Amino acid sequence: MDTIIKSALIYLFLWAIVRLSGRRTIGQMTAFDLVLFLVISGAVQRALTGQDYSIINAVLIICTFVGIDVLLTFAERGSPAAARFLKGMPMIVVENGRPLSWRMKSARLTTEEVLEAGRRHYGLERMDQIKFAILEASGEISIVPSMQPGQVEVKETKKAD
Amino acid sequence: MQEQESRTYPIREDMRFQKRSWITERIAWVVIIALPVIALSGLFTHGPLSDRITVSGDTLAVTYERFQRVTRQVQFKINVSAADSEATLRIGPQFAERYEITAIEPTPLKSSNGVNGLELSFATPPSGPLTVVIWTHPRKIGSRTFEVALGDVSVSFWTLVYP
Repeated sequence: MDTIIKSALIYLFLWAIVRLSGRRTIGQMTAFDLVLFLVISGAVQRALTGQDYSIINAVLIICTFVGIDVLLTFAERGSPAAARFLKGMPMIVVENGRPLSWRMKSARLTTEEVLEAGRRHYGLERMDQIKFAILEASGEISIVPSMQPGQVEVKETKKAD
Repeated sequence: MQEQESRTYPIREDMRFQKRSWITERIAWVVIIALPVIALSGLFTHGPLSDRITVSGDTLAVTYERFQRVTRQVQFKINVSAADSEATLRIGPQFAERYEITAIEPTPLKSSNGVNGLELSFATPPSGPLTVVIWTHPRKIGSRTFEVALGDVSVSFWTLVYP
């Protein structure tokens, strides 16, 4: 019983830490973040197994983790409110070329990060080339460019007299 | 349109939920940062809040950590001033149930464990008090009061073991 309770509590704690540390943490994992997560997993593993290295203990831990994950997936699918609570919601941070500064400040997002996403995905150079920038629940930034790929920019030209 | 208002295109937003999420995040950050700082005070183990000594006159004193964590090694130090060449300590019965004893220094002359608890007999040094150190690992979580007795003199103390 201890194993299952410990596993469930640790799963919920890890979920809360990752969820509450802020989306920018998840979406921008650097090499150091990876190292940090490996250290965290080491600390968690010792707490989970304790002195019990039996196969049954390992099976119970894995089943508890995966089982809770599956239940949460069902909860997300069954209830939009649960999905919102568990995963968060996307949010527009640039609208028609204009950064929404209050939102970006609250989400700890900078214009440089948005421009970087635009550069990386579409080769965009300026903010006014971005129709929408959306901070997804995963922490990634999605860009909707003002001009879709394949479209040609039509410029007005004066006829020579 | 104000930034605080929810848009419906190209995605459906809920800025009220978003604001509550941000407030919850900020509170969580404060807790995450405060926890290690509070831990330095000894609330979760060794430190000023946890280190305790309980005495009965000049005869018996027990030094221990009030706040402990399950499976983490802790020591109980018992100082005994006895006139006799042999001192017998009696530790309440719950002690052996709740702690796994890994070492006792010095090695007792005699030891037994029964319904009245653990009894340990030591040779007292020719001069100065006897110091007994018991190394243990807590087995169970929760709070419990223990008693250590030397003849008619006894001290009691409580510990809290975190999961």
